[in-house]
Amino acid sequence: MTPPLPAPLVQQLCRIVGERHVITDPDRLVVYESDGLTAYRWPPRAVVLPASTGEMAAVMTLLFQEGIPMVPRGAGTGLSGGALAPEGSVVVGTARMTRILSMDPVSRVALVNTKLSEAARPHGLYYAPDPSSQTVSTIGGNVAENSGGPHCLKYGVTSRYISGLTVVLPHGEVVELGGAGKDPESGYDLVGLFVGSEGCFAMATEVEVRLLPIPEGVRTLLAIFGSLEDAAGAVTAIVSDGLLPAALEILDQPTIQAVEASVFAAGYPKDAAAVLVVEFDGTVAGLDADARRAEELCRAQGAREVQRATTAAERDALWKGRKKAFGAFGRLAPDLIVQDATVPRTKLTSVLHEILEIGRRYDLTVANVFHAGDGNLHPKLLFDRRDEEQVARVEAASKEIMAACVAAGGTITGEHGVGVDKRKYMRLVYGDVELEAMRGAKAVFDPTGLMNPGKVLPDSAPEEEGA
Amino acid sequence: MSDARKGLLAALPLEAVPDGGDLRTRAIGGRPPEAVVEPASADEVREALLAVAGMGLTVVPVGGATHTGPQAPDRPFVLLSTRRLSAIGDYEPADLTVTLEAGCSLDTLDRTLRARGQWLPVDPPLAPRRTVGGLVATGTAGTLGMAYGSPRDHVLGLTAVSGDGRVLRLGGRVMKNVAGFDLVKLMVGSRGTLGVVVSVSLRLFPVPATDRVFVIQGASPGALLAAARTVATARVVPASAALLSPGSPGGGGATLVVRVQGADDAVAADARTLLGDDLSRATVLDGDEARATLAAMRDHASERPLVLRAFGLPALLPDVLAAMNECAPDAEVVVDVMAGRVRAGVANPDDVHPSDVHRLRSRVEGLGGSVMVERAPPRWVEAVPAYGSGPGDALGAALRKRFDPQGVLSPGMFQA
Repeated sequence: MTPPLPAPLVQQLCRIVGERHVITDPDRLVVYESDGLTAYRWPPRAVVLPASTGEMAAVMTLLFQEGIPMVPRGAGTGLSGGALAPEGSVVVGTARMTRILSMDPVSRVALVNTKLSEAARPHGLYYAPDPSSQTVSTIGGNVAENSGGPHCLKYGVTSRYISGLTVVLPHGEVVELGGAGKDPESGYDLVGLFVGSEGCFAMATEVEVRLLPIPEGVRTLLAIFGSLEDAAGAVTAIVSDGLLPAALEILDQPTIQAVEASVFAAGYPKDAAAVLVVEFDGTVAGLDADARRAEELCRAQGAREVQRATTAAERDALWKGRKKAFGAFGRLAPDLIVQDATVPRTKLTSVLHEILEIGRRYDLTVANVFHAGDGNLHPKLLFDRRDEEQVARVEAASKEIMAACVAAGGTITGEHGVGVDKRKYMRLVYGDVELEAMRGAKAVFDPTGLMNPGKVLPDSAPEEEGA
Repeated sequence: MSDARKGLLAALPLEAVPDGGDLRTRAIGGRPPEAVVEPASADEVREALLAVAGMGLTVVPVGGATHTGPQAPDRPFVLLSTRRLSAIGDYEPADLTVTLEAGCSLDTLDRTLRARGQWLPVDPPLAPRRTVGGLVATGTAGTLGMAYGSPRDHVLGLTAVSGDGRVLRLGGRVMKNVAGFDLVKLMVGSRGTLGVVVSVSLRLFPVPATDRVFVIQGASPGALLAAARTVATARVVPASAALLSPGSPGGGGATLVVRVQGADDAVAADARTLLGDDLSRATVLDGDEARATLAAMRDHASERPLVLRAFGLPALLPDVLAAMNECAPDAEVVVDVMAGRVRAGVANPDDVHPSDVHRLRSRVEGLGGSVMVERAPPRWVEAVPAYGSGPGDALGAALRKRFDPQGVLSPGMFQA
């Protein structure tokens, strides 16, 4: 058990942010002992919630002087344990930093703390990245993780939409990086480097985002397949044909059944081996032709039926099933591990086959729901953490799945981040020389190693990994 | 034979250390190299860097040499050409990815991709003569950047050799990758100061069914600027939109060029949305005509001996443009309407005094923007820093030291 913070330090923190926003009561700290990766529980020493960049800088200066490690936290929805608080650390949260600071509909940029939500809509604009957590996650968290979502296939990930950042370095210095008004070629892309740094460099307090005009129309198809392989084949066929859907998402049979048995039932046929959601957006004039072509290609790949969402409500239902699939598994097993490997699109079929085979070999239920267009797999392993023998099988199967994805030319995480969870896999994709270069980049921002320690990079000596 | 060449020959095979001919023709910023090295692999790049460092010299990596300036190397250097690193390795059309060596020209890449109905949506000035490595080193997207993203968004992974000879294999060849810190983004646009890019994996796009160019001429500058504002704030995003000063293309007055891509019906509808009533007086170009106009737009102003760039939020474009016109009234000017970038090419550098550029910079920085000198005669660079200073400079300098502790790479580039 971590010792509580010394009383004088707590008093100083209270003076900066107000007494109500320094949490030290163990009962109230329980909320902060885990994030979206619920398998781990690490209670922080304290939680501090500043209301502005200035307060954040003052808080961090103080913690820095005391040599106390800091863990940035947004909404705590991350899936890799990035917001878990290691022994002795204090969580520094952005929960109170939610204002939209400015909105420039002509330049199509907005400066926000956290929730961008509906503010852009009156201007006919929107923020494109849409991770499944989008209704609750914060923009700061999305920056830290370089979040993805179903619509990356056409629109790209978070990093493409972040033009500037205000960050507080661990010693409390405030630095502005980039900016939509600055020529991106006039120096190093520090914004690009920062996005996805998982809170290990500094604390982002203000984020400048690029907005896009809301597409005029959307066409959403649901193609129903007799095998997962056929659905994956349809994805390759659609992409090879020169179509550029906004999203291509696959749900397999275990996922369909879990969703349909839950409150998020979307009307997916329960006997289908797989469904493929295909979505096109843009100018209405071109959409029907694209949708028809995609439908033909799905049928040619063996789809037994292709439905079209004809109303906004139908489309919302299809997406709700997809986005809430994660929660739908709660009824089936007490715990699940979701992986996030990405493979080249043409390797989807063979890798899915391997994943199913690994699941069979370890006698585990593996459910697949994933961003097929990006090759970003999300195999979910269902288990009960109280069963130690089962936990061991889950760990062994996870490692094999990860190795299979990397062997197919893929990577260990496409959008969830490394966090605590995937540090042990980093050596599958990087050698010592690359890991050392990453350590060097972190040290430039955080020379004393106080920012979110124990995340992303494995410890220096490989034998410590326990592999 | 120069001592530099002797030193390189001791470390590398003869093919990698060409005679180099008259080295004055390979000068950068007026300064000729001590020798030329042409490695054919990451290992040879590493050997070259180590040999050069051992001799107390520096290295300037060069691809197509279209964009080596404006800063001149401030120490004796060996020119490292990627000429022999030009192979296209893995091209898997169904993955929409390609992995290729840095010295491959954008022209060769474009022909290879288009044969399979795909392309890399970038159009930096002088694109056909650029190499992939040069594109990555400068990070220049051209006018397609707002619609498709810039090279930083297209580069999935790369292999680079750091200044101290570490071969770094960064990123991968998959669409989404958040494994570890994003050193790929740091390398893109780093102008050869952090590493020599050896090979690159790129994300590709399908060639759109229709690719059409709409040209509006003959309107007053004010009316064109208003039309440009309408384009930039319309509810669809064009592939690109540029305003050009009189003189090119077509030889008429000021011109607005709008490129629209997509399904045929959608292109027609988008053009109506973007141009409104102006559509009726637009010249509509397809095929070769469209390509010629786009090439002229892409290269407009960029081959002049002095090229200035001002950048600001699109909403402030009229102010930034006015500041540029005051600084360089007779320049060829091309404006990326979507990004807010103004590029001015000056035929006679004597027409613009360095103090004019200082004034331009302080005005544009006052608007929250920035000014850089993209190309200039050597004497110019001494009088006007090529880049303005920014709050991230100290972090940048510290990163540079991490990747190139002895200062071997591209001396004088960025804030040296």
